[in-house]
Amino acid sequence: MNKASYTLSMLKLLVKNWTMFSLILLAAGVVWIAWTASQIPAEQSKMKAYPHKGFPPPDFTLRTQTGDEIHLADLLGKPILLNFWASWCPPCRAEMPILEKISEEYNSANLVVLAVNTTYQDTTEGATRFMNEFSPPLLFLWDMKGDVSHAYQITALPTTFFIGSEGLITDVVIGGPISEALLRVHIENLIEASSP
Amino acid sequence: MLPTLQAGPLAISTPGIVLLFGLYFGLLLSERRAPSRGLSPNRVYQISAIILASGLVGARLSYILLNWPAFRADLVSIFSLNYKLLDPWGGFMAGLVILLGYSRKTGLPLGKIFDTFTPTLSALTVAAHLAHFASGSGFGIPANVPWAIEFLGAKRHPFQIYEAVTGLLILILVFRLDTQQQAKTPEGTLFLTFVTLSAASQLFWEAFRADSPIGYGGLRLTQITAWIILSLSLWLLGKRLKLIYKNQP
Repeated sequence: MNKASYTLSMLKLLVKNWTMFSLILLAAGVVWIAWTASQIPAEQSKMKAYPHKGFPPPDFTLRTQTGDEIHLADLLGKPILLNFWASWCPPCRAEMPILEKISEEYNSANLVVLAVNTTYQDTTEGATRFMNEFSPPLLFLWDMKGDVSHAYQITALPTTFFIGSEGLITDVVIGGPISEALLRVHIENLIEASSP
Repeated sequence: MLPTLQAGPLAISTPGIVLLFGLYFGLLLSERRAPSRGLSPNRVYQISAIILASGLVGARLSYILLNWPAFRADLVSIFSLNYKLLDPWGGFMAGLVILLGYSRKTGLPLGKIFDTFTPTLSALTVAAHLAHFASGSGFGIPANVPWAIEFLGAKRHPFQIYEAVTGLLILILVFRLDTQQQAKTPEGTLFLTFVTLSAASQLFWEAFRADSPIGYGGLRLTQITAWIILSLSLWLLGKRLKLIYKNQP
């Protein structure tokens, strides 16, 4: 019997016993699903911080325009929008008015909007001129040495992190300008999740 | 992982590039096999343009309907190029409905259309897994194997690579089956073979994924969905295979 004939006869055997074959395969599937469900580890109460969806955000301390220190750890528990930008970046400049609008509109819902200037690759003069076009509650922070940008693995600007009230990153948007509708959808989800 | 590729001042989305390449390669394969089904390459591109356009419009409309308050405040966002403003299920249903309408209008059997585009779907599936690898989504559970990848503070199963390699094997098998058996199989057989193998693959490999959506009792929702799809495809495929071998000695 040559290879083609052997293959054909095996296929015929399979088709003849298709129902049995299917039931065995599906039963094996059920066993596999149940077994893998039993293997899921218990929720880790202290996950390591990573700039990735589902993980706690890396902590940082940065200064505002007025020199005040902002510690991310103090803000966790509130819905947070964390945006990385530079004054030479056109999409960053284009979306900043939207971030300002959103920060004002959702201020009463405790939304915190942090706009981190990647000063290590920008100029303080250029960044300051741009910042002065906007007003609180939008909060600008200086990342002078780039440590925070490095911790958040910023590879493109702008990059926006959405952090829920449970202290986990819910989504990351790389690039921009970010659509206002997308911002609203994410923020509404953050605020809804933070409601009692 | 490699979410972006730097090209001077430009940051290019790596997952996007990978998906585009997968689509291009898949369409090339489908175009190559189309004449054996009595379809011209132009017809393949016409149908694919219809599916893509209807899928994108459907995905956007569905997302808008689901999140209307956000769009009401900024109507310009309706036309935003941001791919995150798309609902995949809405796109899938829209594409399917349009395809059904196209099939009825042109008289082209749905099974023949599905079979024609099976290589495209298969190539896109491989590309999707590689795109996940590039973006870092769908990462694996911690592992202690020599090929584990360091990611997010742990050595992990390269879950996306497992799926991509299996997807590639499925693509090769599907293409070989098509070239060897196409004349003898009822329409829809190739597509159902692809769906069966892909569902089985998903059901198995999902166990190695760390961020799999979990339901009641720790059950992985993607595995349950894959099992349901596997059940349906096995049933439908069995009916077709029995037709092939019914009259054989």
